[in-house]
Amino acid sequence: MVIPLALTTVRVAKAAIEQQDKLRSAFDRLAQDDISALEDVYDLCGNDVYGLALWSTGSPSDASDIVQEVFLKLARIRCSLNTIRNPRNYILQITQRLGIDFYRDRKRRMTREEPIEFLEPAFVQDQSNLEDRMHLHDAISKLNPKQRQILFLRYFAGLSFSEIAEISDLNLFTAAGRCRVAVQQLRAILRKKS
Amino acid sequence: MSHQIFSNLRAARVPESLKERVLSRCQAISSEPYESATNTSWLDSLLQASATVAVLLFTVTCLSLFVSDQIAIPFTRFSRLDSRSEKGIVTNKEASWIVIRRGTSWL
Repeated sequence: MVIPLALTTVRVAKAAIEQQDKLRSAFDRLAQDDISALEDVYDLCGNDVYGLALWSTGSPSDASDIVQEVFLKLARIRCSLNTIRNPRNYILQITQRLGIDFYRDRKRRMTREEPIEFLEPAFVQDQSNLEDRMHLHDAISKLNPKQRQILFLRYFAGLSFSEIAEISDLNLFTAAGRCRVAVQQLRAILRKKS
Repeated sequence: MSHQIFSNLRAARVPESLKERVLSRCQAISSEPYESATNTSWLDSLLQASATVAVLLFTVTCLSLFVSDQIAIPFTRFSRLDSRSEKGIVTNKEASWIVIRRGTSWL
C-alpha cells in the first residue's frame, strides 16, 4: 500500500518538474518575441487558470474573461518573462488577483448566474452520484472566494501550503488554517444537507 | 493530493472554444506596443517639449544663481576666511567647512 503511494507521489512530482521546465522554455521563447509560445503556455496552464478563476468568481463567463485577461497580460509583458523564477505560480498569482477583482465587481453589480459546476467526474464514463455532486457544488458556492481559491490550489492544482502562501500573499500558517477551516465548513454544509 | 470529499472528481476544464479566441486576441495585441511606440500623439509631443523647456530653464536659473551673488558669496568670502585663518582666527579645515556649508545652504 505504501510503495504504490510513494510511486504515485514520485510520478506526480516528476510531472510537475517537467511541466515547470516546459513552461520556463515557453517563457524564454516569449521573451524572444515568439508569440506562438503562448499556445504552449495555454496547453500547460489553461485548465489551472480556468479552474482557479471559476472557483474564485463562481461564474463561468467571468472565468473565461479572466483566462483571456491573464493571457493578454502575458502577451503584453512577454519581453520580461524570462526573469520569472516559477512560471506556473506566477500565472496562478495573476489569476488569483484577477479572480478577487472580478468577484468584487460581480458582487457590486449584484448579478447572479445559474448554479454552476465547479467539478466534473475524473472519468467520463463515471456519471454516478449526480445528486451528491450537485450538493457538493452547492456547498462549494456557499464558501467565500478566498476559501474556494485555497481549496482549488491545494487539492486541484496540487500546490504546497508554502506555494499557496506565496501566491496569496499570506503567512504559511494562515494559508494552512484557511484550508482547514474551508474543509470543515464544506463538511458542515454537506452534513446539514444530508 | 486530493481530499476524500473530492474523490473521483476533477476541477472543471477550460471550454474548448476559448483557446482560439484567447490566442487570436494575444496575437493581435502582440504587435500593439511597437505601433504605439512609433506613433506618438500630439499630447505626448507637447509634454516632451514642455519637459525639455523646464529642464533648460532650470539649468539657466542655476547657472545665473551660480554667477550671481547668491552662490558666489561663499566663494568670495573664502578669501576673507582664508586671511582670517592665516591670522590664526580659524583653521584652514574650519574655513573649508564654513565654505561648504554656505555653498550648499541654498540647496
